[in-house]
Amino acid sequence: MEPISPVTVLYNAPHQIPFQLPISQYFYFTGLSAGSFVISVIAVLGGKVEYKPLGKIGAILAPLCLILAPMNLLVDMTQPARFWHLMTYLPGYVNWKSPITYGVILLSTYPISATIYAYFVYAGNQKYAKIFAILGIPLAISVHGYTGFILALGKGRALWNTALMPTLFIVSAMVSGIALMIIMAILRNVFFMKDATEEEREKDATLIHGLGGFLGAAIITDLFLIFNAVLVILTSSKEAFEAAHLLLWGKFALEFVGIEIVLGGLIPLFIVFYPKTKSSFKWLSFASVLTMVGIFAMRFTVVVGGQSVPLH
Amino acid sequence: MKFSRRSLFKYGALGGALLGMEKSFEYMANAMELIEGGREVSRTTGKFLKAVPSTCLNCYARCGNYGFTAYGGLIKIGPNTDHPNSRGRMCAKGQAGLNAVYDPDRILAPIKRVGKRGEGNWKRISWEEAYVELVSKLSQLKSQGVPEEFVFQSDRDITTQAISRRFCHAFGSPNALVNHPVGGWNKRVAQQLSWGADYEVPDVANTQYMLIFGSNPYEAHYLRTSFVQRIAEARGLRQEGTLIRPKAKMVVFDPRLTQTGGRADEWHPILPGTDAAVALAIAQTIMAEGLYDRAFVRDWCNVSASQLEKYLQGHTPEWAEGISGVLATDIRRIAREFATTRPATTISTGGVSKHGNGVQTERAVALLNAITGNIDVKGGYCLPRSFTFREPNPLPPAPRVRSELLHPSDFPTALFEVPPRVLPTIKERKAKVGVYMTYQYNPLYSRAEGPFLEQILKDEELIPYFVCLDSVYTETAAFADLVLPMATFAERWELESPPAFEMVPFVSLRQPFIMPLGEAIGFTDFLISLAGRLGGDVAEYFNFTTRQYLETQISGIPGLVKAGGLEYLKEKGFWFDSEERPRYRRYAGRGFDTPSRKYEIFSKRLEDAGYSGMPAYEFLPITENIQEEEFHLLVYQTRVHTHDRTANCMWLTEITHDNPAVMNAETMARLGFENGQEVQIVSKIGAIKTRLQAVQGINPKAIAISDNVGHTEFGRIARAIPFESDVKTTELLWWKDGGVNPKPIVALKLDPIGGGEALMDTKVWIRSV
Amino acid sequence: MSNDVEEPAGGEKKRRVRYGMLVDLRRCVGCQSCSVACKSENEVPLGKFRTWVKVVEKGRYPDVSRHFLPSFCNNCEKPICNRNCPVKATYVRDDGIVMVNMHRCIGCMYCMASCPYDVRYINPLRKIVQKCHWCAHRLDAGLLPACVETCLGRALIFGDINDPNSEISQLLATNPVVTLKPELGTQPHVFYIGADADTMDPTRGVDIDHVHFHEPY
Ligand SMILES: Nc1nc2c(c(=O)[nH]1)N[C@H]1C(S)=C(S)[C@@H](COP(=O)(O)OP(=O)(O)OC[C@H]3O[C@@H](n4cnc5c(=O)[nH]c(N)nc54)[C@H](O)[C@@H]3O)O[C@H]1N2
Ligand SMILES: Nc1nc2c(c(=O)[nH]1)N[C@H]1C(S)=C(S)[C@@H](COP(=O)(O)OP(=O)(O)OC[C@H]3O[C@@H](n4cnc5c(=O)[nH]c(N)nc54)[C@H](O)[C@@H]3O)O[C@H]1N2
Ligand code: SF4
Ligand code: SF4
Ligand code: SF4
Ligand code: SF4
Ligand code: SF4
Ligand SMILES: [Mo]
Repeated sequence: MEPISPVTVLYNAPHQIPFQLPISQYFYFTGLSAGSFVISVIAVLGGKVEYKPLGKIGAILAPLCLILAPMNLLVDMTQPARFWHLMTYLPGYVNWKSPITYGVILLSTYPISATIYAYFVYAGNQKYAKIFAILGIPLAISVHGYTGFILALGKGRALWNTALMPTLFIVSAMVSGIALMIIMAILRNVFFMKDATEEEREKDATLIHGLGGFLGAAIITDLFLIFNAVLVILTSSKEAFEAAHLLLWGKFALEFVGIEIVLGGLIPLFIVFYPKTKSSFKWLSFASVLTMVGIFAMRFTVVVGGQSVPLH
Repeated sequence: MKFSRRSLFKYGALGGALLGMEKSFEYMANAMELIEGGREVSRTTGKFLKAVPSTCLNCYARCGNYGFTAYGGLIKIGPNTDHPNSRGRMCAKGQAGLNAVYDPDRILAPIKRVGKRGEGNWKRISWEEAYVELVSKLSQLKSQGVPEEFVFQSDRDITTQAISRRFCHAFGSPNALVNHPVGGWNKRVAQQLSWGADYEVPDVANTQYMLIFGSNPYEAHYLRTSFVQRIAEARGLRQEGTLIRPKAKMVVFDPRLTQTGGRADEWHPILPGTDAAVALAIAQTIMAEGLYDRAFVRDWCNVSASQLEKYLQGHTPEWAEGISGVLATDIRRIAREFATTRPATTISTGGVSKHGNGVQTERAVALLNAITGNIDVKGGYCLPRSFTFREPNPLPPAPRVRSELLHPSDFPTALFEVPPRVLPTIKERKAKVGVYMTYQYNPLYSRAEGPFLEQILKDEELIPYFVCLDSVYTETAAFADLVLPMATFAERWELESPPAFEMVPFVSLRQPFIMPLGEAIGFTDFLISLAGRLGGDVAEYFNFTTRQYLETQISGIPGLVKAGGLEYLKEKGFWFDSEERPRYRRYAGRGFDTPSRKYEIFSKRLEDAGYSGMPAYEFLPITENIQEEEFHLLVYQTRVHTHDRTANCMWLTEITHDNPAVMNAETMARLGFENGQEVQIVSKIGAIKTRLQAVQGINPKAIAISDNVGHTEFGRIARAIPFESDVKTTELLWWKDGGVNPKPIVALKLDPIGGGEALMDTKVWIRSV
Repeated sequence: MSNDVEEPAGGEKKRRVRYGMLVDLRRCVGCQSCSVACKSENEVPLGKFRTWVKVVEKGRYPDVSRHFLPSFCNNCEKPICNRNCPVKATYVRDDGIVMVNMHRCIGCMYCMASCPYDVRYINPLRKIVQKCHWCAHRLDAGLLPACVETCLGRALIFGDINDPNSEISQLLATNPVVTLKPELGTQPHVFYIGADADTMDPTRGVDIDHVHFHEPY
């Protein structure tokens, strides 16, 4: 016999999980955008000529992903025609305390600055590109950080309601951003550098391998943060424990442990550091794809898994 | 005593004397500062809506309600605060009355069968055509000299019995039959034998001890809302004058943990069908230990204390323990508590009455109230108080033809007709039928052995013409030749006088909130028109309008007539004599309505028929060598439904739409079944498929499947089919499982004494699928 | 509870009304009349509830009991839903009731995701968020909420908790009460007497991996 007396819920009303796939995708795309922007900016600010192509790729990807991201939001809203309510910056209309409001501000300023930035990067105007890069960095980080706040302030959900959430989101944004950059860079290297010199291509390749190292570092940070988060939720409240249960050995174990940690974390980590694989484009792109899938699994498990612990 | 809860004392009047005490008695006062009922405000305009007071009939409790209307439509049904019985409360079913009116699957026009019976092909016809056809069928019976072949059967005997009997008698047929009455037929027979009334009203608001046998007032009971609110009151501290009453104890015998049992002080998972043994053992202890009420037994019982004590000698708690599984020590303790706590009352309904030994068990339980002197005392086991209504003169004489349907010869002790025997009697050709008419009666769903009854209804030789009056297309209507759309309780006129909990009888009016939808008409209006068209004698006896009929009905109540009669009722919804105070011990004058004028512990009538004249434990064959893997099947009512009638009410069916077989978790594990597993529940006469649900709260020898769901007709909501309709959100119906009707595996068995159905006497076993 | 006192222009002190709901589980019979009354009063669509009554069985045969837990919007003093709603569709009335402005709500569902009590839902017909608002339209007309009015056990007690003489204040003052998830600091204003810890615990008695969530419409 079990030590505690049995409890059976005979009746309860079923509830809807409010944030579903579209919101996960929204977080995913903002993450990609922020990640690629930051890498692009590092490239541009780094000043070395050979980084330039990276700067260019990032400069395109960032606004592109950012156009995709809010689409998901619009699809998810039950009153999409009222989206302008979010931007009625009249007194009494917008709630400045809501993370979504931070988001709206960021989502309307960041793409503008990112586009201007992209323009200057392509126009080759280093000076202005640098100015907008510096301006853009806090915006980019905030764009993704704020999505972390959306969850962190959702206080009903034990998995979300942690101060780690914005940081975790920023780091995972970096991970997915770098991975996307790697894929793009490899594609460019293989398909669009036909008339480049051997040396140029060689240079480009070392650059990409360098990105692989970046990716590895970001994954390690990400895994470390996840480890922290998991360790804490395992021992804080009961709901938090149940959330940990869902992720670690429950309903979302496949997505979380299988896809996010192993497929999207440990395996790519191995690939980018193992000497035999780290310099192979094939392996590297494989690792990047895995990472991107892993981060998507992360968005999904955090968003949907976080809401899968019943609240009543 | 006052009925208005608002005018009772306010909290605070108690002063500091109670500091530190548990404070719950103040609920009796309506201390909430806002207005409690009888009004409704529009959500859009903020204006008050028109309010029509009436009486609910989504079950037989008949609570006071209000219909709130706007633009000719019914917006909401809410409770009537001042109603003496329901006092501003209304259960889930009453609230969902709105769904019953605007049921998107309601029948709103007469339909006539085309093709074979039961095939489901119908033609819409006009009321005129329907009347012409009906009149021709009925006149044919009359001209052949066999008017008694018109058989009418309606839902229980409350609202419509008088007028339908009038119609049958006027037509020349004695066969005005009813369905089972509330609480079960057996109870009614038992009560008639013991004290000459149909049922009892436990005065729970004032009691100190409730001994419950097979009753589930938190979820069911025939006076539901009025009853359970008073139990809830008794379960807290109450104030009476300057006196504070402690909370009443509640002890429940039920094989299944009900909501009542689950909230009681004690729950005893008794073996089904053995309550009489426990009751008799309690009586034995009380008598043997001299704890009985000497005066009452001496003056008002037809058996002396010593005779009774002697009779009960062998019925010891140890004997009862062996039969029922309830510990002898518990039985003895409960006996002492029950006898020494005043006032106390028993409560017993379906779990006692719906067995093959229902009459005797009911008599054994009622005996406990008699020997403890709790009969018709404040807080005790009271006689019902209600008004009887007058009939317009002249009254058609009862036809003198003997009717096997009304007085079945194989049930000499039954006192009344035996409703479940009606169709089988026809099948056995002991009674001939020309026209069978049912009103608000759905035997193919609610009676045991539906498939067997279906064969009878299908047989055009046995039943040449079958007319079904209902507002819903029921399982039964599917076999009719003519289905006529009837008004729901929200659209028709009726008078009621339910048993009064405040012990002062009252009249409650049912009046339309809105005009009947579509071509539906009220039952009284229907009978009056039909009689008119039949002409001759019949028309003579129905020479009144519905309004005149109601006025005549109340004409025998002078106080009401003085207060304004029907007009008063139309405005208030109910009437009672505000001068009258509750009088207890009403038998004290003329005695009980029994042959001996006493409370008949011993029934000569029973003894003459060869049964035990004293209340006895009758062994049920099902209990005998029941095997390890065999179970008693309990069929029970759920908290948000009334039998079949509420199944198409979406707000209710949303809450309860399926009915897994509830089983003891340990037993399930031992037999190797799993929680949630799909299985077949098999009885001697059939099998049904459902899933198992493991619980702790059920006797290991029992399996319980709820009634109320599992329809094959009745409407799409009842069958879990989403669809678009004018009624908002039916397209959002989200549940997939519409449940299963347990009746096809419940064999049609009756208590030989009372003729009531033994619905809970089925032996079943489980087969995995 | 703070003793909110407003000072109107006249200088004469007027107490602020602060509504609260008390659920006395000693009296609740688990009948669900409250749930259905609310459906009828507020046209709550199928699949959604503003109040529902959880029913729990606990113990081991034959020592078993049943417990109920009616849930409402707690109309919290520190409502996280209100803090998070970006467009001020959710707002708080002076009497403490948390409202949703049906014309402003954009249906972002952030309030639903943040409320720790899962009492908000999307109305699939109106496509906005709704929840229990203690029948504010009835209160404004001087009527009790529909569920309170009809409660069979008279287990629901409603009133002004700032009025020391109100029934609810008296009961709150003299009985041990609890609220749901007080640790979250939302300061719920639905109070319970006699609530069972196993019933209040959302994760007890369910198989967490197989909780049935409602499909989104
Ligand atoms: N909600 C609701 N209320 C109703 C109705 C309804 O359909 N729904 N119907 C109305 C009508 S017509 C009736 S007759 C009443 C019925 O009201 P009740 O009699 O209260 O309800 P039932 O479910 O018929 O049976 C009561 C209990 O008896 C138990 N039982 C079965 N066999 C035995 C036994 O041998 N011994 C003991 N001690 N218990 C046993 C069952 O487990 C069940 O819990 O309810 C009326 N009120
Ligand atoms: N398994 C199982 N079966 C049982 C029982 C059980 O406990 N378990 N209990 C038995 C008992 S105690 C009883 S009393 C019977 C009850 O069995 P029934 O009397 O057959 O059931 P009800 O649902 O009360 O009502 C019958 C019909 O009345 C119709 N009706 C309801 N309201 C209105 C109205 O306003 N106007 C019109 N025209 N029609 C209306 C409904 O549509 C329904 O078809 O069931 C019995 N059957
Ligand atoms: S108890 Fe019966 S009569 Fe009373 S409100 Fe409920 S359904 Fe109507
Ligand atoms: S219970 Fe939830 S919805 Fe209600 S006020 Fe509190 S946080 Fe908001
Ligand atoms: S769904 Fe409506 S009420 Fe909720 S946060 Fe969004 S805008 Fe506000
Ligand atoms: S207070 Fe009104 S809105 Fe809230 S649950 Fe009760 S009836 Fe519904
Ligand atoms: S209406 Fe009252 S007694 Fe019934 S479940 Fe709701 S709170 Fe409990
Ligand atoms: Mo009944």
